[in-house]
Amino acid sequence: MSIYFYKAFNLIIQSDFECPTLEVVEAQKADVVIQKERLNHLKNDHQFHGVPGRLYFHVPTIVTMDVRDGNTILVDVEDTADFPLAQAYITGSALGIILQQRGLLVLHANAIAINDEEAALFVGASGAGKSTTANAFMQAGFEVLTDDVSAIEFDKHGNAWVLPAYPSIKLWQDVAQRDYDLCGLRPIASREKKFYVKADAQFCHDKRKVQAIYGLEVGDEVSQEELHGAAAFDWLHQQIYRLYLVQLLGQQEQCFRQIAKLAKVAELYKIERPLNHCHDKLIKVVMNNSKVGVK
Amino acid sequence: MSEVAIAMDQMICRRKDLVASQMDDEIVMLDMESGQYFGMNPIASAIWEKLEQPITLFELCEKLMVEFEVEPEQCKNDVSQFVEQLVENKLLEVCE
Repeated sequence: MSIYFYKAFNLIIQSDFECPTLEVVEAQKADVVIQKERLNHLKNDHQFHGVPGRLYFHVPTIVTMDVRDGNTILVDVEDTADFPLAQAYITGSALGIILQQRGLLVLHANAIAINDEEAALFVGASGAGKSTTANAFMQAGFEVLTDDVSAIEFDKHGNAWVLPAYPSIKLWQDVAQRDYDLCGLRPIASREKKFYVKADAQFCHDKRKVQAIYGLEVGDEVSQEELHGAAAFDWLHQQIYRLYLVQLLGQQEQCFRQIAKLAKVAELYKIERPLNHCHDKLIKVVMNNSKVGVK
Repeated sequence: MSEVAIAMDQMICRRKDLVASQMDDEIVMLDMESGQYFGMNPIASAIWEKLEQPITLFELCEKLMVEFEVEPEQCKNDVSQFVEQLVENKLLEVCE
């Protein structure tokens, strides 16, 4: 059986499973181990179950996982499962839980390096165009830190840093088709219309300070509104990656404090724009905000 | 209208297991027991700040009337209604 080594979110990962979206590194001491294991005793229902330090879940016909202590992922893939989909659960849900267990603030956001020091994060409901926006920035020459999950750590000065995740982004077929050769792309799951696009050449390998967070909404024109106070807190709280994980793991207080810290150092905006054009205008707005706002 | 009525001379105090954070001129707080969180507008936040030590509704109104231009009767009505809301939401409690 092969063993694979990857790096994601500044963690070295040793895995019994191939994870093609992650960045391959040499064999070395790992922070996180992904291990093949029979987990029949956890296949009783379809719920997430959690106690501090441990969280397990069963996705019928696909995969069962037991995620422990921020360093171990036990995985039982069903023999008949769609393997790419099982892989997506490993690099998505399971890694998300690991990050949460390690005390990071995990947001459902992608992140773009806007200069040598800082990043802008983009959040939005499914279909609001997060990945399309990330792709537009990449087409304009910017580097991407993460496509889906933003892991944020705080230093002792209160600065918030977003960690580089892995060098691939997910795109809907129409966008992928326009900008890339589909033959070279992997679908997320066998029947999916969403594809992984490799972003090695434009992957930012270093963590970046969070300068601003943008909530993407669809509108007729490009316009933005800055958020302050309790409304800013409330809005940011809604961007947490699977809030129920925070609750299951008993980390509400830590999460509350982190959200408050983040809202203090990052500028928060709701931004409206047409879904599939005006990318250049959006980029201009983001770049302007990064120049004026010194907090 | 609120379910609880609080007398003017009743001591009230903040619940202990609340985590609060200042956001600009507003306060947000988390109720650890329920996992619910609350946001307070600037005026509510100003009132909350005066509740750091146990205090009666009467004293609270006295203090607020120094800071805000408001008639005693108005202040008493608004503040007692607000405090009752906070008690209902378990952010404040009456203390002996």
